[in-house]
Amino acid sequence: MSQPKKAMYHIQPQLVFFLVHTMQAGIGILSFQRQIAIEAGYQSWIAIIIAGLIVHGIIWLIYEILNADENRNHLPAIHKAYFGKWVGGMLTMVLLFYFFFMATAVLRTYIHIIQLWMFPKVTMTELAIPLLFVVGYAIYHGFRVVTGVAFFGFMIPIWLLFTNLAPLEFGETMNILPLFDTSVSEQIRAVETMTLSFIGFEAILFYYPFIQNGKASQKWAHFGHGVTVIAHFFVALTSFLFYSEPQLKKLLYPTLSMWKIIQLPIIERFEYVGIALWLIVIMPNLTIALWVFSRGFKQMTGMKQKHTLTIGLVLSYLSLLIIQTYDQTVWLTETVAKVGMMILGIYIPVLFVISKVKKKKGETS
Amino acid sequence: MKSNGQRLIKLSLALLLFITGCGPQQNILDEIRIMHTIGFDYIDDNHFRGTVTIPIYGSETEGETRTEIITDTSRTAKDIKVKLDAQSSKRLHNGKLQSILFDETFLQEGVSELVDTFLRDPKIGMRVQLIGVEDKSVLDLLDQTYPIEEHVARYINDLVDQNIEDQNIPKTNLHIYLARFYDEGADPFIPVVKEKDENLKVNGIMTFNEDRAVCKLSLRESFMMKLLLEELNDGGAIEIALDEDENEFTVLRNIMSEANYTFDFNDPSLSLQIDIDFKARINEYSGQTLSSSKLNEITSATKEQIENEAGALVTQLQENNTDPLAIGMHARSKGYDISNDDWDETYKNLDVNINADVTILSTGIEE
Amino acid sequence: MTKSNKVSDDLRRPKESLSEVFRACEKSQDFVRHTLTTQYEQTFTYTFFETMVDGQLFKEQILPVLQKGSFSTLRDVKSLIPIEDTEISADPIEIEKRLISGYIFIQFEKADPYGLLLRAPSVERRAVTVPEVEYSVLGPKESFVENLDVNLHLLRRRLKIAELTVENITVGSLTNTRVSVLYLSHIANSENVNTVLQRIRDIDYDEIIDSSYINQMIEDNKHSPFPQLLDTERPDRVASELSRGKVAVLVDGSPTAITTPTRFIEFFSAFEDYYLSWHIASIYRLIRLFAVLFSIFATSLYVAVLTYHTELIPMDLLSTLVISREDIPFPPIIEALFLELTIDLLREAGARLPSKVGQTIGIVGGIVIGTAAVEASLTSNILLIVVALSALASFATPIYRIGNTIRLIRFPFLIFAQIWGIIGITILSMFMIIHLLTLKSIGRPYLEPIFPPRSNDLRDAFFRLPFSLQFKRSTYVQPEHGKRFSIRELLNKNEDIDEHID
Repeated sequence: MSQPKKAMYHIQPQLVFFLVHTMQAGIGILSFQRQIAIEAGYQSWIAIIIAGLIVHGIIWLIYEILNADENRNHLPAIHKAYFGKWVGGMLTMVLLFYFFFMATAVLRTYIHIIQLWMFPKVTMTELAIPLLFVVGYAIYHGFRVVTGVAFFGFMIPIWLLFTNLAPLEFGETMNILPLFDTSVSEQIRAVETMTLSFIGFEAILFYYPFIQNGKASQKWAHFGHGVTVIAHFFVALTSFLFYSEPQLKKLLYPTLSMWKIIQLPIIERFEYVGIALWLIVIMPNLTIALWVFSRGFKQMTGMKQKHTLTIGLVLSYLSLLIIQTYDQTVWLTETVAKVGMMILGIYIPVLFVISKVKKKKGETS
Repeated sequence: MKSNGQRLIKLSLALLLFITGCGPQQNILDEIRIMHTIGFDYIDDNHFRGTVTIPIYGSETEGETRTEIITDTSRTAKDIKVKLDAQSSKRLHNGKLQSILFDETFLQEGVSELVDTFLRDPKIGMRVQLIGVEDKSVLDLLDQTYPIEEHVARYINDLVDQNIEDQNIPKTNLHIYLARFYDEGADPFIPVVKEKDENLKVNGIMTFNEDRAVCKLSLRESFMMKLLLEELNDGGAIEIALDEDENEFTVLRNIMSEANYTFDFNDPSLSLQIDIDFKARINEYSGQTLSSSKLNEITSATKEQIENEAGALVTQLQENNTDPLAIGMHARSKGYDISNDDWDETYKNLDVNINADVTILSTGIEE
Repeated sequence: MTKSNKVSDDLRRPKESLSEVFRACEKSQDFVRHTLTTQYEQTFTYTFFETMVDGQLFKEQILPVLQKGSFSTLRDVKSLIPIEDTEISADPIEIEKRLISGYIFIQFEKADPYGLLLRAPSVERRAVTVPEVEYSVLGPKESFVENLDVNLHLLRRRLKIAELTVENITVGSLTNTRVSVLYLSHIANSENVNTVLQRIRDIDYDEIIDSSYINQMIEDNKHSPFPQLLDTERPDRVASELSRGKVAVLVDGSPTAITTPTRFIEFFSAFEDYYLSWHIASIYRLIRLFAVLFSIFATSLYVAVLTYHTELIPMDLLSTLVISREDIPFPPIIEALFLELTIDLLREAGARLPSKVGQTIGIVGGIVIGTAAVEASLTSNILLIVVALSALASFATPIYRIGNTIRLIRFPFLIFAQIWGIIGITILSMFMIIHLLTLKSIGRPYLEPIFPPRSNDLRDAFFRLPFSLQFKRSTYVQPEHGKRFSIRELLNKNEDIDEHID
């Protein structure tokens, strides 16, 4: 009787594809091409591939860490076992707030876009309250629904990728030629910037126990990330063909500006539809990140997840009140990205080494 | 009980007010004036005149559909919107703006300040056309009705679009203007319209250096530019004179063309070879029959004329220091560094050699 | 059996003696209690409700036997009377229950504590008629009637195997309604069956008038506007659902059956889809789904675009729209609400009136009010077209219940479109998707096969693929036997062109 019940609340390993992909694809796709172009010009497409490969490695490391010990298959437990209650708890806390601020930054940026493009006079509260309510409603019904949001967050907006083909009518192949006129230092900086667009997938560290047969999900995680890389590559390529380099560097959200050129028989000015549909893209970002926050908090403090969720939503709203200007929004996004960089580049490898050492010790003793 | 009912009524009234009145700024379709065209005339260094056309849609009570114009002078681009709004019964809305017109003086003095204000406004589409007006002020051009089309704004816009799509004008719009304006390897160009009898006509293009128009090209030169600029374009026609004295000529319709740019970087002054592959069909021929020897004659005459005229065009552009052919971008894409200051000088002294390869695909349904 | 602690059980104290039963019954004027003395000086007391008993049967078959014979025990009476369902009982609760459902109670003496129960109910049954709600051009023209036995007969005739199991439960403390739960014991998932049985047993309510009562009481989420159990009046549909391993619930007095577990997508499949060729059926399904999306979003998009997003309107459409709006004194939202409410009013008035008058109302409303409203400049003619089309689209759903849901959720979409434009529409759509994700039907995911994605179940969801490809039962039902037929034949069919002639 309990076995099928349990299966209902676990998710199929294939669904990790959506969880990984939608957590990576978010508000970043609207502007990453500008940032990498600033670093490495139009040759920065190389950096997308390199950064993609590096992140594949990090996903492999994460799965190694999670599979090291079957009894400790999520981060709070791993932290507790490796670093003890206090130090481990502090580390978990850092990660939880990292996810919390990731959600907040995404939400603030999205609201900023709406204020910039659609409704200059709309207040932050007016949009934040319904959005947070919908996010809370999803998390309240558990991880199965959160996964469903990720699923729809992929299936509904994925066709938006094809809208990037239309602007190629005005594409100019000369823009990206010559292909390999670049330096290593430029590429390294661009790889660094590009990796920031891929952060978010490390939420696996928290939802891993919810996956039926976790080990089988690894290939789906790699697959999900692979699709993210392809999508970013495609968007970058079409933008590079469409814009001249100095022009791209001037635009805040090149992807949105690119939609301006699309003219359909019933919709002129596609960017407005695009902005509205982008809500579905950022929804998984918000739900997964805040789910991680509420779940991790529950595991650390023993509070009910209902309560930690409420705390998360209220805190998120309050921090939105503090971040008023565009510069502050950018600052928050960049800070979250820097922390994410450190987590992926330094902390995960260190954790990997520790887990290997501990495993060796366990085997010898 | 009674107070409950009253509360309910009050509540639902409040809700109704909320949903109709609250929320972001509304742009209810019939409560705004949709600007179709905005045009600018140069007055002096500090002043210009802005003119917008707005369609007044007819209905049972308001009669015929017509176009009205509003005009005023101003110092800055920001200010003009306020001044124009001051004359309008409903708020002016620029979301459906289709074309931006400049008079000749304005084009020569530089347009970037004005274009920049449109650029920052997310409501402006990227398919907006920048159009130059020849021989006349924009105000006079807009303040007229033309028999061929009800709304002047639509007329101008469709005119330009049609000529880009099927005729001799190379492809351009606000996006292409900006892409070329910012890129050091290319310069923008815009189509020019002119009054002809009681209608308008497209009269070639203006090419820019930075944001100033420096060179005007005729329709025939525009076609040459289109040949040099676009791949696989299907549009444009060219008249080839075979024998001036006997008034023998033919009209070729472009089916397919492609231009290849090859640089010789070993040459110290940099030389450029442009190969045009031109495939066309004969649209019109004034002579009697088209024998194969005649066809050969046409082919060689066409080759000669294209090579001569394209060469003259490139020289003209080089002399005016304007690069609408994106030769700089071609050089860069082949690995030549154009970011240093003496690119302008290099461009001026570039040795350009043009070779045309003409194929006549068909002669129409008659031999 | 554990003792149930339903409130309704406490309301009626079980009667302790026979005389107490009779005392309660005697208050009714259709209650008959006579003492008969035969020619052999033997007395009989017979008791029944004359409105529930077949009087002819009593006069022709029972009375003659009683009058002629001489009996020493009730057992002798029982053996002589030509009625199969007879029973000797002394249980007052049992006797009360039987009396009110059309039994005749015979005693030798009025004071006897026991007597003979004879089954002689008068049955009023409506003839089996053509389905009206789910009419189909092809296929059987039978629909369920109010009589449970007839309905069971209709189903047994379609599934002629012993494994078709019928379990009866009586619910409703006042109505004592008989509810039958049907399933194929070798296919249906026992967990599904038990959940349904348990939920019906747990019903604590006094009146169960129709199957829709049961429907609303055993739904997983009772606050959702979306129906989570499918109700149908077609016995062929129920038989087909049963053969896929589902559970059906029939209620006495109700001409609709409930089947479960149900997926969201099934509400948009008409049973006629299986009678048509699969291409046509698939296209119809897609059209229906498109109609639903159109119905939900058309009016709200109109309001959003006209109120906020002028830029979206194509240049050529712009003048048409402005001209149609030019004389309207209201903002688009008021205009739209006014028209939507008018259409709903027409629908409601049409539904409550006899069919002939209803038609007239439809025509009068549709043509006269519509034209007049446009001419009086109260609404724009484009909106009238949009609203009328979306109303029409909402009626294209084969299941009545989901059509109502769709009509309802348009209004929140309208309001959100007014407040935040198309952003509001996406916010609410996201909320609706999440809401659908949370729903379950008897514990099975409602949005399957979309989420969780299961390719096997897609064979009969958005499209209906040919029968040769429907070799597996849907996974979401979790049937005990997944295979419907062997697919070996399919695989052998790879002969070459013109193979028969050498």
